[in-house]
Amino acid sequence: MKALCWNGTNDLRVERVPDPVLVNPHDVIVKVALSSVCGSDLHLIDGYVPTMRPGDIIGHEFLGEIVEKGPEVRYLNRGDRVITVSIIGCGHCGHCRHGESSLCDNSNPNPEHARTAYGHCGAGIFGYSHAFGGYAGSHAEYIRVPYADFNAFRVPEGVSDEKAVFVSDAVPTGYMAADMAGIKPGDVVAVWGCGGVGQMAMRSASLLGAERVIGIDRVPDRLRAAQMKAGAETLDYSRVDIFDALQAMTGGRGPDVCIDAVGMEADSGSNAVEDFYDRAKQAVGLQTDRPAVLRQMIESCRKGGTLSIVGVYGGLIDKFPMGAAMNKGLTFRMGQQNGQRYAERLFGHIRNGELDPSYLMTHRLPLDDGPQAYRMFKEKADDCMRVVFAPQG
Amino acid sequence: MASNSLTGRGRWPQPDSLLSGLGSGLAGAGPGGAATGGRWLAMVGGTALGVLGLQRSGWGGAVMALGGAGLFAAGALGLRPFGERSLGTAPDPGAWRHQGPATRRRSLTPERTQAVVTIASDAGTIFRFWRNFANLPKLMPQLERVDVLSATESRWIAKSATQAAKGAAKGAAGESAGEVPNWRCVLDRVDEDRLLTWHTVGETALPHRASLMLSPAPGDRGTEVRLTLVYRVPATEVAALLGVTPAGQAEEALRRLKQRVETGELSTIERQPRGGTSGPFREATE
Repeated sequence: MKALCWNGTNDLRVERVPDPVLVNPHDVIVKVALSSVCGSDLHLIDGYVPTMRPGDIIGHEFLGEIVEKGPEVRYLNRGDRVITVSIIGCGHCGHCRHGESSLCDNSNPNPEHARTAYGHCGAGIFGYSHAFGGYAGSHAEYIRVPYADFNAFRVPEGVSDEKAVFVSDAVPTGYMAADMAGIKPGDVVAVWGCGGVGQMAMRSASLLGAERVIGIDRVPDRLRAAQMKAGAETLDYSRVDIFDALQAMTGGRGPDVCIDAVGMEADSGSNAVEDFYDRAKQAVGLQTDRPAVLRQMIESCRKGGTLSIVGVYGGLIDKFPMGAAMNKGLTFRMGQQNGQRYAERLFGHIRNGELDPSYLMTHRLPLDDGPQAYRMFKEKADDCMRVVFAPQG
Repeated sequence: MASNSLTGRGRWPQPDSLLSGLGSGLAGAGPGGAATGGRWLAMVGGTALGVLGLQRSGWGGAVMALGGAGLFAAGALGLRPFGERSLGTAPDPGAWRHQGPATRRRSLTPERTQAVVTIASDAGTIFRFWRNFANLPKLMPQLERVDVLSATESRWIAKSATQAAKGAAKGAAGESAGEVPNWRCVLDRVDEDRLLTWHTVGETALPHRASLMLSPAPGDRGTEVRLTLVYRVPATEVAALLGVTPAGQAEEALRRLKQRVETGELSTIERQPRGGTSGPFREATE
């Protein structure tokens, strides 16, 4: 089959690889119909996530049809149209049982990397480096899905492929960001990053009762989409001072909830010295992640407010304003998404018309265009929010 | 890219690169404390020089900034440009063991290793699985099989280290040709759903005793499982014969036990497709 493989920093190639096979009794094989790029893939492509190996198939947000199933798969059948949560849970360990499947004890077959770096090991993720299990990704014609009964969800009738595919990752990530922030009526929620996850976080914040939602980005079409599609007010961080603007918009209190939908490759937009410092330290390996968004959130958030972090971080950061965070009494919530907990609820919102993620798909391309598509996505060219591949053509 | 230089062999930052460079630099009072002064000097001096350099224009400023960055990096990475003695010269706490004629056995005392895991299951299920020693090759890939001889006795046959490592059918060093490590075990204590202890009897290259202890985890968290292995030969010798250190053996056994009991399978990426076959294999470095 055809697959999009990582072969080094900024080196993606479409290659011929063997078809996947059933290995474990709870596996299914999915024939991939749609597979989306994700902002977090850029961290892999840019070389910021260690433990990638040449030949690794990337991609983790996908929809398709089950074509084979293992002998112990109970609830799913051949022919089912399913989405699969990008972060793999076993469904049985303590974390999976408590709705924290991204912390699954069992799904990462290669726990040593994460244990060394993090103390404990989290779940396996499709197409997201060997620290997260080394599972082959979804930018391919077929993919093996382990523990399928727990990770794959039948798409309800009446929900189109274009809407459903994002329930794999972007929608639950954004929803979880809003959900774990504990939004209360009257809250003002600020979301850093108006890409796919940020858009979904903004919409979810409204669904969960936020009074006002403010989206922060510098890409004009993304800010436009935040206004038109996600119902947010927007701030362009390349034009205004974010702290001043947020205080002005909130009567000097600051937003009650600040959501990070950016992650480790952030820039501050306004403070050239800070950006130079972070890039220099990242370049010589003295920090792995750039925390400009975290610093802005800590500074801007209201006293006693909550920071909810779903942008991906990988390692160490520097100049983290812990004094401000502590003395302002901030609450930090963070984590990879626990989509298994949200998938049914999100399909419900989509069916009711309260949520339509299909506008994230600005481009639909064949897998052969993979390398160019990621370049366009990275450069945010041609108003690109998300490219979705159709590996079957 | 810098992150790649840390990950060239597909690993996270390892001790003596990023983490320990920062970690030991910040630890201060630990065994490395005496050696960190120079590093702090390098880091603070480097920062000052860098800031001064950045404030100046022209080549002079650039050179100062670059020098400052280098000095900072040297300090942070533990290169100690101001030349204290290396940490490696600190007295080895295990040196007393080396007194007397040099032998392969560096340890005269039994080597004890313990691993622990919490399994979301009742103690009975876990106990029954382990109590049938014939199941243990599923948990210890270095075992070929375990024959249960009686209610208390069993014979354990290992794969040789080379078999375990490469799947080859050759005997390991230290074993006579065609022979693989094996031993006879007897059960000592069987405290249903709580404790199981056993030890080797008779002649074996790997004399050891072991115990599996189960206790309820708080709340609804399942069962805490402790596996203790006490080898009467050094870990290096165990590794030479079995292809795995005692610590590795214990950890892997519990990881597999947890997966077997909780999910009924072992997570794996074996036999999955990957690219990179069209060209020569390249490591993830630039």
